[in-house]
Parts: sequence; C-alpha cells; structure tokens
Amino acid sequence: MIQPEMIIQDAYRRLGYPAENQPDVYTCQKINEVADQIMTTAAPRTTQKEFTLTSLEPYLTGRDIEKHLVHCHRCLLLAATLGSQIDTLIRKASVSDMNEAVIMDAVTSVLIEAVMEEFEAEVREEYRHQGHFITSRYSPGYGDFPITVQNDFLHLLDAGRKIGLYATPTHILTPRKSITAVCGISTQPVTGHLAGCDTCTLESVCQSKKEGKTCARTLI
Amino acid sequence: MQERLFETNRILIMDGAMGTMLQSKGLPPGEQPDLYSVTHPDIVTEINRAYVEAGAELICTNTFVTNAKKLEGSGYTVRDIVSAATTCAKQACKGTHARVMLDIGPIGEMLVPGGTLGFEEAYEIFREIVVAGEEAGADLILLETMTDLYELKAGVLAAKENTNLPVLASMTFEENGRTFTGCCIESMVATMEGLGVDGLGINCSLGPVEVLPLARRMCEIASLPVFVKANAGLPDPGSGAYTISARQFCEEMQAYKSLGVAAIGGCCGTTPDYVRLLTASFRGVVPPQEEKMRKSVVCSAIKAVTVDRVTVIGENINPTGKKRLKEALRNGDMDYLLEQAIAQEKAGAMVLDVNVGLPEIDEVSMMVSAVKAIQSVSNLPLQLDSTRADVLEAGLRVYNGKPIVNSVNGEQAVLDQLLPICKKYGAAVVGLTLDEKGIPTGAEKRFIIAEKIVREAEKHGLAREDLYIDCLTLTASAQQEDVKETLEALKMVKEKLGVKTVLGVSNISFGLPNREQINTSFLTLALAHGLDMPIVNPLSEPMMAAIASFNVLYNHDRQATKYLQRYAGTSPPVENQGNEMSLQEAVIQGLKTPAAIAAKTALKTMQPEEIVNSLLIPALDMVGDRFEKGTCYLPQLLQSANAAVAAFEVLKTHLEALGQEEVKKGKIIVATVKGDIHDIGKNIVKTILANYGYQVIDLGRDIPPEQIAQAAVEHQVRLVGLSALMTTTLGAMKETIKVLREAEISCEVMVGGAVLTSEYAALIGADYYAKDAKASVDIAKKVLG
Repeated sequence: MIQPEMIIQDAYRRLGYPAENQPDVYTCQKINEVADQIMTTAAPRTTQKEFTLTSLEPYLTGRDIEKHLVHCHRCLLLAATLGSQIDTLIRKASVSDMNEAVIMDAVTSVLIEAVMEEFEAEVREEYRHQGHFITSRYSPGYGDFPITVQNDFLHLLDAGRKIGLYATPTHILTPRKSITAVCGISTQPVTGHLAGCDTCTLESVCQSKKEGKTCARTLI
Repeated sequence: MQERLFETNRILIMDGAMGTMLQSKGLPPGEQPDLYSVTHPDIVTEINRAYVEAGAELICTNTFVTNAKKLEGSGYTVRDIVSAATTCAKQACKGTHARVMLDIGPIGEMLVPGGTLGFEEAYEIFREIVVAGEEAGADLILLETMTDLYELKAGVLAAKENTNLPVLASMTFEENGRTFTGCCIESMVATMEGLGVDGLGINCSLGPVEVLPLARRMCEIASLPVFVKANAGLPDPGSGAYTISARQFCEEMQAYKSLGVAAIGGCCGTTPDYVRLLTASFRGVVPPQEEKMRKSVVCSAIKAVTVDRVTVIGENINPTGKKRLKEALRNGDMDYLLEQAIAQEKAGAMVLDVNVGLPEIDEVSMMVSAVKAIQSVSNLPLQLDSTRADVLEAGLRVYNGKPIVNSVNGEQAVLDQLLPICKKYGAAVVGLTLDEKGIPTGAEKRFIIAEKIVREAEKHGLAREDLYIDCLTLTASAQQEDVKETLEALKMVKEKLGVKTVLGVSNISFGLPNREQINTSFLTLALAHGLDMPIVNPLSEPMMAAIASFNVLYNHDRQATKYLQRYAGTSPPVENQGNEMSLQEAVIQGLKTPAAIAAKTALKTMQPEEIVNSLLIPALDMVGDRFEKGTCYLPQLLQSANAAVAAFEVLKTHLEALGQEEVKKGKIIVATVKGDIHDIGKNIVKTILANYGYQVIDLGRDIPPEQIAQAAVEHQVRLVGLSALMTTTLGAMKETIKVLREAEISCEVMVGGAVLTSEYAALIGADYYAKDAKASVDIAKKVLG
C-alpha cells in the first residue's frame, strides 16, 4: 500500500527541501491539500509482459543495460501510468497558481515512482514463488540506454490498449506521469546493475552530484 | 438508417478477434498484423471466412492498426494495405449477405493537449484510410477501441466528409464507465449522435459481464442502434491470455437479449467458435424496442451536463465592456482567458460562454485557439458565441464534445445559414426571439418567433431537446413595461413548445444604481417562470446565492444539501486577517491578501511605479537571493510571486480607474521547443519574469522554430527564452536558434532546461544560459533593463 505520508515526505525532497528541513507551515498545508487531490484523481494502471532476451535484443542497446541483464535469460517489460486526468490537473494549476502546479508536479512524480516500486515488488514476489529472480528495474533514458526505445517498448507491451499509455514521436511518455522499465529474469539471485553518475547524461550539471548525492536507486 | 444497417426485429451478429486468430496462425508477437493481408492474403481470407461461416454478418477488415504513421518504413502505403485487406474480406463474404466493415483503431499517439498529435493531423490520417476503404469496396466504416473522444471525432468527420459509407463508432471503457482518457458514456453518446454516426458501440477491455451495465446505460440513453463486442473475459495479469471459453462467453451474453442491442460480436480472445455459439443462441431473438429518454445534454469529453435543473452559464469570456479581456485578445494572451475559465468553473458555472469577437482581431483563428486552450484546462461544456457562421463552424469543428451555439434568431437568412452547421457538428443551439424587425415587445410575438425557430430547426434535423430559446432581457430603466413580457414569453415558450430556455440576466439593470439587487430579483423571477439556463457572472456571489436559494425553495436541492455545503459551517481560509503588514513583508512571506491590502495602503502615499520599483521588486529580489543561496525553496519563491501578483492587480486596477496604462518593461517570448511538451520550467520562468514587470508572450509547448521566429518579428521582442527538457529535443532548440539567426531577427536568446549546460548553450548559439528562473530575471535585466 502506498502511504500518503511517504509520498508527502518524498515530495518535500523533490521540491528541494533538505531532509533536515521541513517546509514552512503554509507550504506543508498546501502540499497536504495537493496530495489529497492527487490521490483521488490519479488512476494508476500497470502492465507487464515477459520476453526472451533474444526477442528483445534489437531494443536493448548500450553497455549499461547489457551489464544490468547479466545472468538473465529472459526479461520483463513493465509500464505504469497515473492517467491523463493528472496532466489536465497540472495544466489547470499552471494557469491559476504556479506554486500549486509545481507542488503537483513533485507529488505526482513521487507517486508514479511509488506505483512502479510497488508493482515491481509484486512482480518480484510472483517470480520468487516460481523460483525465479528478477533484477531491479531499468528505464530507458538512464545511462546509455537510449530513450528512443520508449515507443517500441509500448508497442511490445500493447500499452496503448492495455493502460492508455503512448509516446510522442520524440519519445516522451503520455500521459506524462508514466514509467516504463526492463527487469531481467534469472534462475539465480540477481540484482542488476543500475546506471551510476559516470554514465549519466546530466553528469556535468547535476545539482545532486555537486552536493555529493546520487539519484541512482540503491540495489535490492 | 436503422432499416438499412441494423434491423429492428433481430440482433445482428458481428465477428470476433482478428489479432488472436492471426497469432494462432503463426503471426510472431510484435509484428505488425496488417501486413499479413499483403504477404499472406490466404490466411487473412481464411480467418474472415471462418467468421462468415460461423454466422457473422458484419466482418472487419484486417486493418485495425493500419495508418500512415504505423506503416512508415514498411514499404507499404495505407492504400496497399487497406485494399489488400478489403479484398480478403470481400472474398470471404462472397455469396453471402455478410458485409465488410473497414476496421479502424486508434492512431497510436495521444492528441493535443495530452500529446503532440494535432486534431487536424489526426483527421488527415483517418481521411487517407477511409478514402482507401471506400475505394476498395468496404460496405461501412467501424472506428473502434477508441479511448479519446476527440480522436474519434476526427475519425468520424473524416469518414463523413470524404465517403458515403455508414459509420459505426465504438469506444472501450473501464468498469467505472469511463475510457482511459476519462470520456464517459453520456459524452460519447451525445457527441456521436450529434455528429450523425449510424451506430454506437462498446468493445474490448472487458468481458460480457463487466460490459453489461455499461451497455445497459448506453441502450437507455442512445437513440441510435447499439452494438457490443466484448473480450473473452478479463486477461490473466501474468500471461495476458483471455480466460473464458466460447460456451461461457455465450452464456454471459444471454443477458444482452433483453437489453435492446442491435448487434453483438466478440473482441480480444474470441474466435469463430464463440461467434458460432452466439449465432445459434441469438437466432430468432427480437430485441425489445423501448421508448428512449430524450434529454437535453451538452458535454465535453469528460463531463456531460443534463439540463434538467438550473444550469448556470458563465458569461465572463466576452469582451463586451471588458477592457482587460479586450487587451488580452488583442495580445493573444490566452492565459487571461484561461484564468477566467477556471475562476468561473470554481465559482460554480456549469457551462462557459465563449465569445472572442473583436473587430480588429482574426475571430476565426481566435475562436479555434480559445476552444482548444479552454478545453485543455476545463472540463465544462462550452457555448460558442458569435454572430459569424465561419467563426462558429471553425469552433465547432475543433470542439471536443457537444457544445451549444449562441445563437440563431428568427431571421430566415440566419436560420438558413447557421442551422445546417449546428446539425452537421451536432451542437445544441440557442434561438433568440428577434427577427428582421428587431425584438418584438409583446410576449405573444416573441413566442411566434420562437415557434418559427423550433420549426425551422426541426426541419433541419435538430432535435427539440437541443433547442434553447432566449426570450431576451430588456433594460428595466428604458423599457420597464416590457420586463414582464420577457417573463411571460419565457413561460409560454417553455410550456407550449417544450424546449429549454436560456436568458442573459444582467442587462436588466443597465442604467440603474445597485444593479445586483435588480439582477438577483429578476433572476429569481425568471427562474420561477421556467428559466433553465441563466447566463450570469458566476463570480457574483449574490447571483449564485439567488440560484442556490431558488433550488432550495423549489425543492430541486433536496434537503438543501448543496445549499448547506455552500453556506454552512465553512469559514474562509485563514491568511492573516488582523493587523496590516508591510508590502515587502507580505511578498516575502508569500501572503496574497495582506499583499493586496498593503498595496492599497501604499497607493495613498506613493505612485504605482514607485511602489513597483522601491517595494515590490526589492522584495522579490530578496526572495530570489534566498532561493539562490538555498535558504528558501521553489514553493516559497512561487508563493511570493503569487503575493506580488495580487499587489500588481491592485496597482493595475488603480491605473485603469485613472485611465492610464501600466508601464511594462519590455517583451519577452518564452516557448518549449518543437517535439517537447515539458512546460513546468518554462511556466515558472514566465511567472517570475511577469513579476518583474516584463510582458511575457508565452507561445506554449511543442512550438516549431518558424512560429517562434514569426512571433519574434511580430512582437518585436529583444529576448527569446527557449526551454527543452530532453536530449532528444535539444536538436529542435538548436534549430530554432538557427532559424532566428538566419532570419536576422535582432533578438537575444536565453535557453534553459535540465539537460542543458552553459557549454552546450554556447555551442548551439544561445546568448545566455539560464540555470533557473532567478537567472532568467538577471538576464532579462541585462538585456531589457
């Protein structure tokens, strides 16, 4: 279960507030209100499909994804979205109150991550039952894994029909608050190898990196 | 059409899945199935024939995924595939009475505003398919598995304008009765019936059991034939396989016999076996013919409004007598329009009137932009308001849902010109009780005009429930004796013609003091005389209170639930009501109301310009500095911006009252580049720049280089801000700068966005790199002062 309290705490971080620093009362109140609204408007949907590694080979380009899928013989494509009403809500806020829009953007970004996190955990559990192991998830656009595969992934997943998820010709997922990812499947315990800062396209400008932090998720 | 396509005394059988069958015949997963019609026509024909032999009388061509976008790089044209698939299907039907439906699925990209595919572009994509389908000999067109009403509308328009084939429209719903994009059954039915399709359907997503309540709803409200093609149950989440057998499917379909559906078939997971059982089971079944509920419905894709109680139309998007709106329209400032739309929605408007008529602007293109922009932020149905046929038609075309046209009148030429347009696009229409001779004074004469309008509208095929008569409010100060006539006419029209009524109210008090008092009294009287749709300013609390009270008194608002919601217990939000604080303090703390109060106080001793330069800007600078140093964060920065806006509003109103223009510092264009739809960052920059007094022209997102260059010339700007958030759209940013330079436009360019660096900015020829909104202000100061 996704806990609204966790979403709110993560949204603080996303808005730039350091861990030791709670926002002012007004901002806290605003974030709480926005989180309530988002929780009722979001229509999270997920879909998954298993493939052999060879059938996906044409799409799995780059060093990083190769490393991530070492010891895997099959893999899973996952996709999740919060639905298009969220986009309308943010557009609307952008007109009347930019502060609200920015907070919504942060809350929904955190929420879609949480939805995907939960989905991944469920899937992992199912595979564990069947005696299989899956790696952590890896998304297009991270490291040297090109974002251009986004449209192909959605096609393979039939994501438009299943969860209403599409991509623009420039590979932006629509609805906006959506995630796709690949997990490797193996008969032995695997964790995968997530991209680090050295392969990240934001390396030279990243504020987190300058502060000695990383956004790369810790491996399970 | 019912006689030709569907029959009233039996339920037609449609086919089942094509994709499922192709896969069982060896189509590899991920491969585009429509190419099989060219490469393996025998297999496709065999599948088509299997359905015909199983009893299907309407079969689909293997073209569900076929469109120009998906065929790109395949070596085939849409015509190749459609022609091959239609030939297969026709071959399969040979010697039988089965007919071929040109099957068309979703394009595979989201339309604007959710995505980047334009409505007009979608229309073109569909046009190519339907033209090829008719040419190849398809008997009718089936648009199916649609989730976006707007996309479906593009398809239906393309089919109706470019072919003579009947059109069936089918959408796919979730169990909550909405599609993925939020379209509800009511909106689909109202919009599609309006556009004149020949049948309405539900297909895919769910099995017969889950579709049943949705189909029941559709049968209840639709006056057209309804068909259902359900999946073979719900897919197994792991394997994706469909779970119910042919026998079970057929058993679950039994409930549809008494529903009133005109045709049934199957979707994903169903095979000829399923269809065979349906054929046997539904043979001889006569669908019940029930009287349909005819209701007055207007809608957007998401929200359907049934006019069965007082329905407030917000009047504020109309430049007449509104200086700020006029200025916004002249400057193409869509944000101001959108603010008005959202404010009215929040205040309780249920429909929004949209009038963008100014002699000096291009009203046609403004109507199109306004409709698209308002529909991107508000789910309320719109009332398109113009006297010009070309303006109305352009607006109706791009409108998503079923709107109201405001208005026609009793003048024959107007009726002849506008009614066909309303019919074509399926709009409801307001009829004013005036004609060539003006507004008649007596109620009886106005009634006669109303009668004529109703007669003419029905002659043009409009349904009576889609007519709203406006008996016209006259000014009490000038024509006092006629006020009662309006009320009398309203009552007659409502009772004798059985149409809904609409009335602009506030005109009544023109020229009198304490106008609201007269307005609310007249509104209440009009409501008591049967007014359904008052056109009012929903931000006027007394007006909304009069309506809320009326709803209690006439027992529309049972147990006064809504009234209590509105007025009981809730206290206004606390935002420092007590002692006044300084303007700077209010802005720094981000408090809107105190900022406005402080601005009013400051005006007693200072000039507006002085207030901006010595109080507001320094306060904003201070917040900006804190943000830069990391001692305050983005929400606070923006909250301060909001407070500053509240103060600016006060100054603006003050200057307006004096008849003076506010002093703007200089124009800046901002835009998110072509292909990119990330606009939060751009919008933050816009907000902050506007705070500092710059006139920001926001072109929006996904903006082509040429449009940016054109706007730069047109508005003679000296600074252009470009945003891109993706490595894949940086190319478009580079291209935009190139276009600006080649056109020798003397402006400087600042760029920003997460993937940019100052080095890259320099590399693509930008003059400045803005790492955040604060930096963009520093750049603007440097360039524009």
